[in-house]
Amino acid sequence: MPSALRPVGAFETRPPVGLSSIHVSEGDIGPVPDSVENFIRKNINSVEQLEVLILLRRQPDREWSPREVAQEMRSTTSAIELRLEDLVNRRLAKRSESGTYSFAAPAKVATVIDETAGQYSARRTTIIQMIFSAPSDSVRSFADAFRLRSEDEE
Amino acid sequence: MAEVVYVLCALTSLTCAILLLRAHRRRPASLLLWSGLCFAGLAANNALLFLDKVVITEVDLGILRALSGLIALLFLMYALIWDTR
Repeated sequence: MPSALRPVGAFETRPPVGLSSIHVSEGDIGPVPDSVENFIRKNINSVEQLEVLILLRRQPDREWSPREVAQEMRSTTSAIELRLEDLVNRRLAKRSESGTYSFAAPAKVATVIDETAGQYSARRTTIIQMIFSAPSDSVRSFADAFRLRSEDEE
Repeated sequence: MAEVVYVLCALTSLTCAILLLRAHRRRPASLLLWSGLCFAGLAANNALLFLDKVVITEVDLGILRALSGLIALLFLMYALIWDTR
């Protein structure tokens, strides 16, 4: 089975099979939805992390070992382990006792992740720019510490 | 009036410390830990100021206050300069 995201070069990935022939210009599909932008700013701090999340989402019932994800992503196991642990801390994935990981976001968040995957497929450059223009994770955590109500409650 | 300001400063610093350390407990991040400890130190500094100027006026607590302020800022400096993972 072809992998959902197949890296071609060091920093390039090919969109899922079937979508690469569709040309969509930004004028055709409007701005990035606010839900996607908020999700990326709050949860995504690297392209690799987004691609790992999309990989887990595509097969939500499957349990992945870090090595399997690393092979799929053409990355190193140690880097993938950090990404998976970060997703677990954000409650987007869960770790089993045997050390495997699977998708674990609630339904509402899963819908936003699907939208994000669609946007990433259609307008890769915009999404990548959005990821890299977000403030660093530690600075964002510092600012979020002073929210008296979490964003989930708002 | 001055006593009110000392107490308010101590309470504000304590609130910041609690919020930062609570966030660190939920999702560990070293900046949250060290800045939380910094604000805890500043809360202690302000509490010592209140004690020094209002409660225990016979004894000079200046050195203790200076030390607590120094330690608090050393925590923050460590987070911002050395612990930049």
